[in-house]
Amino acid sequence: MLTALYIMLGLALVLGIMLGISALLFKVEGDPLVARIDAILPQTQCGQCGYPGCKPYATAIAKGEADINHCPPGGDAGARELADLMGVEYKPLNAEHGLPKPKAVAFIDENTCIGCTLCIQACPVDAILGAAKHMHTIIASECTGCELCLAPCPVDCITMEPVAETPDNWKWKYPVIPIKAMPADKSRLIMNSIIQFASKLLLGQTADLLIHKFHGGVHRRGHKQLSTTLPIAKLAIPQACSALRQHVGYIPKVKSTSR
Amino acid sequence: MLAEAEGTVSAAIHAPTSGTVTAISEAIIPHPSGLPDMCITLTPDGKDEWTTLRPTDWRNTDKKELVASLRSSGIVGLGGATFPTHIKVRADGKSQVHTLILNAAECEPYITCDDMLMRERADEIVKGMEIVKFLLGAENCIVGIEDNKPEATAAMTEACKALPETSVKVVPTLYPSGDARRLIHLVSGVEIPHDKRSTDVGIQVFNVATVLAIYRYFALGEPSIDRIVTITGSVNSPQNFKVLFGTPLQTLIDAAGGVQSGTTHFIMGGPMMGFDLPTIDVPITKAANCIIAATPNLFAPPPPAMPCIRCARCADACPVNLQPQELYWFSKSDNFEKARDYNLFDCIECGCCTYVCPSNIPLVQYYRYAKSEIIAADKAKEAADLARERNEFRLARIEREKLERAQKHAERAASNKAESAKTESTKVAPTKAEDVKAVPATTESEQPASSTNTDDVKKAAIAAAIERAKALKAAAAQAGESQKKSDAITADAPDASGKPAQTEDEQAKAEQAKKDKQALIAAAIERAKAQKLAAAQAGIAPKNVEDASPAVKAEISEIDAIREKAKQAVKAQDSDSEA
Repeated sequence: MLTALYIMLGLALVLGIMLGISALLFKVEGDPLVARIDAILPQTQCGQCGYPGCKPYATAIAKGEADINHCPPGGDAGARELADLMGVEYKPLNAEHGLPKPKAVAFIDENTCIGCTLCIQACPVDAILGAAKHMHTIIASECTGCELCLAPCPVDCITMEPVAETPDNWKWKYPVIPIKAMPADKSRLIMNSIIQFASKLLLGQTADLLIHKFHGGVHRRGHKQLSTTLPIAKLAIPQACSALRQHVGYIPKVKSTSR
Repeated sequence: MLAEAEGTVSAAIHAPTSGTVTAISEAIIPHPSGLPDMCITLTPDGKDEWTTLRPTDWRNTDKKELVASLRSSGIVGLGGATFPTHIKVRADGKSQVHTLILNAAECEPYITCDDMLMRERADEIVKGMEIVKFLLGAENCIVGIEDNKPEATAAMTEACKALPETSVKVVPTLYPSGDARRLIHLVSGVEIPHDKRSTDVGIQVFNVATVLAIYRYFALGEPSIDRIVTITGSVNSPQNFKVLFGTPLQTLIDAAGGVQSGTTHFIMGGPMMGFDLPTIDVPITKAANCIIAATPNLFAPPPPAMPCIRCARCADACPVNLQPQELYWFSKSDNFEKARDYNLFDCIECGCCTYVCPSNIPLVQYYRYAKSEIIAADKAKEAADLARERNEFRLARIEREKLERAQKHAERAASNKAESAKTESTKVAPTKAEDVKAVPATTESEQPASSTNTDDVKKAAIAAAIERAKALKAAAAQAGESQKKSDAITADAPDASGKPAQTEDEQAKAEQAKKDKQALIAAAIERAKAQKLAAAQAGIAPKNVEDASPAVKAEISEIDAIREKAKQAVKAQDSDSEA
């Protein structure tokens, strides 16, 4: 009886010490919840939520003082993510704090600017360059589109320019499959599609796939003889040439596995 | 040269012929988006003159120099990916390339530009291969050609005959064996892990056309100004042309005898991976290996997509061993994180899955959509991180500036103190320092003169202030009951004790005054302490008078004045004793 008690006491002591040591060893600086909320917020620092920046809003959410749906730049997706993280019910954005807008960057009309530096002081991310009585300009790549510089400008020379779509930020669109009206002769169409479907399905694996070292791949008619009958010809000098930028496309970062 | 390379992944652009630059403006480029981008328009003078070309003696030149000069040559991968060549030959110091593989598979249907190039210029290709071998320090070289190009194979074998450690390897015709990783697997049997580059296993792949461009650059001094383009499909005479970069597409079509009737659009690249050109008014770029004039007969519009039946035909066809059907579900439902987990970014967008899908689902389109959404989200995340960093830096900077300002104030206070101490000591010198009663009289007359300094001086007068505050406390304790004390300090503060005197008749008011007085005393002590602390840190003491009652405020200011006088007296005493 006593032995058991001592064992339990000893265990409690040892485990308690271990807990104490690990608490010291793996001490977490700051509030990890605030950091996690802050990571979801879009960091526009626009203050539309009623707090002076994203971090204060994150702190307020963590304390339970603010709701999750006060951030228009974060949009619906942001509210959903926050709801997920906080384990609360998703709420649609609160329109009181504004509505989501397409991403825009501030633009200073340099002819009107008087160089008062008020916008520089207002910018939460130091994205405005200039000095007193000298022209100011926006560093577009750093601008978060918070619009905080609009109000202080005494000559209203700042406007918000929506970010234009360029080949660099262009995105492939979600595939849209057009819906066609069924022709009158439905049976034939259905038959056709069934035949096509079945033929593709049955075409499947062929024996010669095995002679290849890599998996998969398809055989397709080459159509190469079309253009190989004639030798390479030199094209005459054209009327006009446009040399231009090449778009290499996305080069994914290869994680270097250090040994 | 028209444009220099900017950034790492960039190549220069050279004028394709002699002429005048007439415009630098936005124009439609051959890109799936159909969006315009900056273009340089050059109007040729028709003479097609070169500047003085400077061939390089590459065998006796430093490799670093060669790579640097390659950067300005404008040579990019001419297989279609247009990755700048100078990056590929740059030694990264991590891995030693031992094998060079020439990609001559040309697996996409319709395209024959590399085929024709090998048939006609095999010797030049082999010379270029030697240069690249030298640049990479590679020992072996393998040319990988698909078995549907017997003439090219024969030509290359003939040209390579004299060279040791060079072989031509025929690979079976199967799309997409021209993909670099697939080709490496086919010719060398090495399969590269998905998170490694081919250089990590000592293999580098070059397209034959690129190698030829390198030869022409080093041996003849010609930068990259043209390429071979296949024009095929529903044109009257499908053929390969040597086309200057920037040539309008229409010129090429005319050279191929014009289009046949029924041509609806043009495809750039092959039928598997190419894209529909947004308009015919686009120039030929470095990426344009093939232009196909398409008719509905040649390329039937895809039948409407039907639901996925999970036949896994796509998984069988996938050359990179992905699970296309899973990726399809995730991409379709915008479940991007999951798609990424299933290695969406290993997809080479070859289109095999779409080709075999019995339900005609445009699978690759879904992957492209998911990829660009993920890339955009990653970029937004990066931008947000940058914004966070900049915001935090700004807040820190504001804080630091505040501190610096405080520091400056303190420094100015210290220097003022020294100054005023000098002036005061000379003025107060005649007065006997022990005679405390006399001090106010003397200093009061000097008050206007030193008023500008008083604020700073006050702050610096610590030792005296504490003494005075203590004395004042004693004095003030008695002040409520009697103001006729002959104590030196009470006499110094006639206004302070005057108030209770007026209100002596009214008990309540007297009580209030007493309270005020006590509060004042407490505040004075606090302030004295705070000032001592602040002075110890060479900082300044804040004036915490906001929450005191007006009466207390008045008293505080008076006490400040008294302290000031006392301080001056002490200074005078000090200077006296020093003297």
